[in-house]
Amino acid sequence: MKLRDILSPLYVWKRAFEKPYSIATLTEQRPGTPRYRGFHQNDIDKCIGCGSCAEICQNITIDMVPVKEAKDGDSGLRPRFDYGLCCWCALCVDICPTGSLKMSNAYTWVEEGLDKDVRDTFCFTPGVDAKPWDKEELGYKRPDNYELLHLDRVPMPHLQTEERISSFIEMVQGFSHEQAVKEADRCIQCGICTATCPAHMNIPAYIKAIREDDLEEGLKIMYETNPLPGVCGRICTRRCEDVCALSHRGEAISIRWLKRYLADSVEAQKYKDILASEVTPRNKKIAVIGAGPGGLSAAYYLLKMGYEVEIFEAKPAAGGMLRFGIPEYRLPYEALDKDINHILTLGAKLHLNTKVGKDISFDELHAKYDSVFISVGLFDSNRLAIEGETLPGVINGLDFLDDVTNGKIPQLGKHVLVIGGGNVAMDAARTARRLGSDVTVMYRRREIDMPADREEIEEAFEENVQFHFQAIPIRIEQTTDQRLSFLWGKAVMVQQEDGKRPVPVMIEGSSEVIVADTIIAAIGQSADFHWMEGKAITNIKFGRFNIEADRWGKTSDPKVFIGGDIFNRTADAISAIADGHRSARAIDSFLLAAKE
Amino acid sequence: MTPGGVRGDLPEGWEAHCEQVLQGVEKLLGEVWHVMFNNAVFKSRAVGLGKITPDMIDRFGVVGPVARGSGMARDIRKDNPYLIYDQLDFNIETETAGDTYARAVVRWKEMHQSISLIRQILQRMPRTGPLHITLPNVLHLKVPAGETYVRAESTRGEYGYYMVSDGTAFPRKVTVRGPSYSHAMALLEHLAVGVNIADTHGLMLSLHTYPPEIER
Repeated sequence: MKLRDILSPLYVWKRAFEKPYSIATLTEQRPGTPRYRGFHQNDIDKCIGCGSCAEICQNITIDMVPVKEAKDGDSGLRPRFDYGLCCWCALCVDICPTGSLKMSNAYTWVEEGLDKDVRDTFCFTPGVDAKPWDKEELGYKRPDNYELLHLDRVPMPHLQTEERISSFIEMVQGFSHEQAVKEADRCIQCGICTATCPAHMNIPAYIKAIREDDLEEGLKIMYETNPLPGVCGRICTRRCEDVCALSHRGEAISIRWLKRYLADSVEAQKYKDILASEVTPRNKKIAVIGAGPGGLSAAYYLLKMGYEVEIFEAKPAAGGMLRFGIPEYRLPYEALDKDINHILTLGAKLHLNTKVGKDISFDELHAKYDSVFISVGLFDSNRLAIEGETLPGVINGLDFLDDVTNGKIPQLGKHVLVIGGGNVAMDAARTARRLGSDVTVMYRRREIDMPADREEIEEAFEENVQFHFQAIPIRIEQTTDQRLSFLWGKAVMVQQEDGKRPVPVMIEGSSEVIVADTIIAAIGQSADFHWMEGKAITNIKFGRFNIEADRWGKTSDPKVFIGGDIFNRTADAISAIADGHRSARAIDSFLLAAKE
Repeated sequence: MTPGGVRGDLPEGWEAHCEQVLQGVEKLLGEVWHVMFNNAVFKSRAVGLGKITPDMIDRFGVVGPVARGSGMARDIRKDNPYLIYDQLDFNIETETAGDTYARAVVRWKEMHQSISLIRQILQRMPRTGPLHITLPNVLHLKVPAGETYVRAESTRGEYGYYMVSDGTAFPRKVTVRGPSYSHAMALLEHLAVGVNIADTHGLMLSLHTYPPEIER
């Protein structure tokens, strides 16, 4: 035993003269460090209830519970945390698409009392259940350069502007396989889009099918709610993308382009086998008036339910506005025909060039068929109601687009004026551009008031269409060299109450002239019900501009249903498709009930 | 560490704070040497206790500081380097006596080794470059089906990690094997013969057995 070994431990006595490390009291609050991952905070107004936090949690800590009423883009659910399971890893905060979920640096929570169920202790819904750390500024937030989600879209290749305006070739070139899978991978599968889609397509499911390369399954999923996916994949108004969870901090998933990729990837001849299903014939006949998206959709679902369907179409081909209103560079006839032909292979009898009220009476249809579905669309163009509108060279937009579809290309001359600000005006303007004319669009309100699709307006600008805003038509006159002189006045916007659109009011004495070779009027369309006459309409109640119907499209005559642009307020293809499907189910209920 | 990298950079002043802590630990280790290792009571109990001879190492499956205390220079970080250990400068610390005192000394020396490793890492860590890249959507992550066995050097010695994946996002089986079973059962039974009952606890501690690990 060395002396050193006896004396050396006494070295520890120096501690008697040093400051102790220990903290004096247990009850003193020690605040968490600034980036500490403590108890959660959630801004429930920013939160959209997408459930990504619940999805990524590895401990099943989070339950999505109903808190608010669901509305467009908001599921109404909010995350509820069970701190018996949470490990405070903050993956939920990292993935939150809106950035509403955060963590404070609080770490103490004392629950008193034994009156609660032990399964509810230390469970709470941040933002709904008030907690002492709600206003705490410090804590963990997702760092700036750290992102688990891909916020940018895979860009969709488009034709260059010069190439675009020299022909009617489809402008959008479509995704390749790699691009589609990459874009589909971005989707977090929250499903908020499905509620907003008028047809409630199961969007997360078909996006998953694209990601997993299961294209046949994806096609089947799309056809459950939409028999025109190749069409919608090109021209849909994509309300789903407006509410996509990723659109809050980044770009929405390209749902429309993914739908197009899926529909284009399966060959037309394979559709019949992939989409085949057991059909029990019901031995009832249904007449569909109008072979547009509404009529075609109703026909598809009625045929699937076992009914016999006969479609009556006044024009020489099926498609309605899709063929005769939307130009080829947006929706090629080939893509439209692919979808329409599949519906026809199910056995629908299509009568073309047959106008009800002229070639066959509504009375006859009403008597011969067990039910009638009317989706004739809005083909009655609104008049300009100004002097000179009957001069040669003044045409209306729908007639112009109809002629171009039928191959009757008019001579437009060097300069074309298009009056109007909706999708028909944009289609007419850009078609005229492709036919070689310079085009000026005259709209009576401002650019932000234009009802046309934002994308169409931007593309029109890119294609060098000129615009005059706040322009009110006054008169059209013929010039000495057989051209048209368009007189218009400048307007000021007068704000309205009740959130109504501001009204353009012409400035007294304002007068401008612009000369053109052709003037195309595209200022709106209305319904034409003159063909509905005779005994058959005795039970049908008409409103001022429409037919009265309930949310299923059922009119006051229980066997007559309506759908599409004549029925809904949104006036796009997907709404017509949804109407057709909904009315088909209502017709089915009506006929099954009638049998008993 | 999260999928794709790390969440953020070192906070302001962290490196200085770390160096401060390391210096504090070094000071403490010096004090521990004076108070515990140059200590007659500790020496009289630990020296000669639970002597492990080199031939016992392979017989009982002895690893880690317990093996290194008997002179066996075995360390996976040197023998089978992983991560960045092949770029760091350190030696395998050994003692020859093979008793409890020697094992404690090995652990004390390895603490100094760790401090040196930390200083080297801080010095060599790149100061620029991305901290995180966004992987394909982590919600759709799938691990290919298969199995793997990986070894790493941990506090107690060689650890084995056996993982099986069935092709989904969650592993089917994860088993971590540490040395506590062989140390606490086979080795301890052999070493405990003839030992003072009061010293059995110290012997077990020197083998650094961890009861929950005996059956993970």
